[in-house]
Amino acid sequence: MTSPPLHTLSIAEAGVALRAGRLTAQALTEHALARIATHDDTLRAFIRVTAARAREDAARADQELRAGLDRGPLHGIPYGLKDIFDVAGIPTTCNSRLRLDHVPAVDSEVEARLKAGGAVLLGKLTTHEFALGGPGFDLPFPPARNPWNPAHFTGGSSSGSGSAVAAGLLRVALGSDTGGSIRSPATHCGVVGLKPTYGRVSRRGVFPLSFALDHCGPLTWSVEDAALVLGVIAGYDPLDPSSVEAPAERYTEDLGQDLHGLRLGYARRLFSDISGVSPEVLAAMDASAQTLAKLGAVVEEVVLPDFELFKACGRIIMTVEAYAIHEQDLKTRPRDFGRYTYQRVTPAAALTAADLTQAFRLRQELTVQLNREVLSRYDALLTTTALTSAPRLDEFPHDWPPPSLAVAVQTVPFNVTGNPALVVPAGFFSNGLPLGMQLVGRPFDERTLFRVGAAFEARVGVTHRRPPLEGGRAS
Amino acid sequence: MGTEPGKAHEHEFDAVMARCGHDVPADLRPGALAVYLELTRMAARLRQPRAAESEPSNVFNVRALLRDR
Repeated sequence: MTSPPLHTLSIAEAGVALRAGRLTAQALTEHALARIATHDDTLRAFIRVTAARAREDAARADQELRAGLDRGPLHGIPYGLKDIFDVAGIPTTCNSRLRLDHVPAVDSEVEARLKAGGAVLLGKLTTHEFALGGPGFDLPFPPARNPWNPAHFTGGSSSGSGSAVAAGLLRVALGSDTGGSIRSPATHCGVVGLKPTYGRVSRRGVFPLSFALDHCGPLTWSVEDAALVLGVIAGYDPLDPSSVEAPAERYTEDLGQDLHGLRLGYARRLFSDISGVSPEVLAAMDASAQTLAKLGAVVEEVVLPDFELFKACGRIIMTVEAYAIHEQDLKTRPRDFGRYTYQRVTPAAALTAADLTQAFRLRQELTVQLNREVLSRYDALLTTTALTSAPRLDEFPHDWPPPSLAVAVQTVPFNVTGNPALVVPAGFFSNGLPLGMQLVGRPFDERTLFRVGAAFEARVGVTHRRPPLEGGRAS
Repeated sequence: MGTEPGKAHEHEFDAVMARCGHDVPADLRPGALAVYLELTRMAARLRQPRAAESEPSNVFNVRALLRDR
């Protein structure tokens, strides 16, 4: 019987092999570096491969395990960071001409926790400029490609993170999510993506897009992997103003349970009434709801507040805060921004203080409505992530905006409210591109999302289907 | 409001950008104008009567504010 390829091992499986002496972190790392060398010319997931650092990390991880020092579930496991996360001594470019020379002196908190956990940094992953812009070809680094079909968009803005995990270049990638930037690439690339509860994971040392809406979280190959990563990166950081002193959790505790006793709300109208939504999305989400019911959950349709209100609230807050961060450069160096970034942020100059205050007032109302009126009756919600399959990259026009459904994802409500949200692969469109179901939980109840997601994943089984990469080209 | 800007909206956009100190390059103007119209429409949606419980909170973490810079 032949051994499975190393990149298909789950974190837990690799961990068992590492601790039994049947596998080394160095072998895992060399395997990943070889896959990157073979496939990344096509996929463009990486901005920078930190091979020397990876080999040092891996050698240290092996030495420590041999000496009996075990740093936890990510010890010896390769990972990548979206290139807005600071790593001391390695440039953080944000894929912007404005930041190409920026070399931080201090690690982001997430990087510090991964390093302390013995994980192996393989490199920095591509992003839309400043985690916003779009898949532009006028940026320092080209857009990442979708491993299921490289002519297509990955989703974004954590585009390299989604592409690299889907292609098996990495088992773990970190991304950020301000309006859907983890969940969009997770659904379009067919991987698991978690936006934790606001305040659960520190953003210190991660270049901000919007202080009120930014979240950091993992993209992984499985729900269990995501739970294990959250256990390493979560925790109170007194130096992040948004950080919350929540109790430590064993996020894998409920994995493997069926769904009896859970009540799930199916937020179908969040997407079913939108003009242009793919019938394949409707069918897949209805089938997903039925699957969850067969697994033991009570599933009932629920109505959330108007999506357009969530969208307006989120967009106003995000755009104003991004403008506040970039105002001077937008005035003095407009040509150094990518077209999409400039066009999406500069108009926020026209918004008023009253507009922002109204957005924050509405945010309070929507958060109360979601949690008091809906999630008081249900343990979690399910809905779609995207409305269509990933568009082709050549469908993006010269100027913003692209066709409305090309980048539409139903994710921003849960940035506005801060509730945790998990994307789990749920099937494929007839064109072969993946789609994902979005689960939304009560604040600080990621465990229920992992329980539901893992049960669904085990039943549906699409996580075992991977992009057919061939000879350096993703077919 | 549709996405096709009327002349009045175009003039309004140009005036606001100039007042705020932005010399918008001509080739970037179409996309910026489209986003301006969308943001203006969204901002209008936010103006509704609000209850007392929607007052934004102002809770600051003093330790974070005093951190080493």
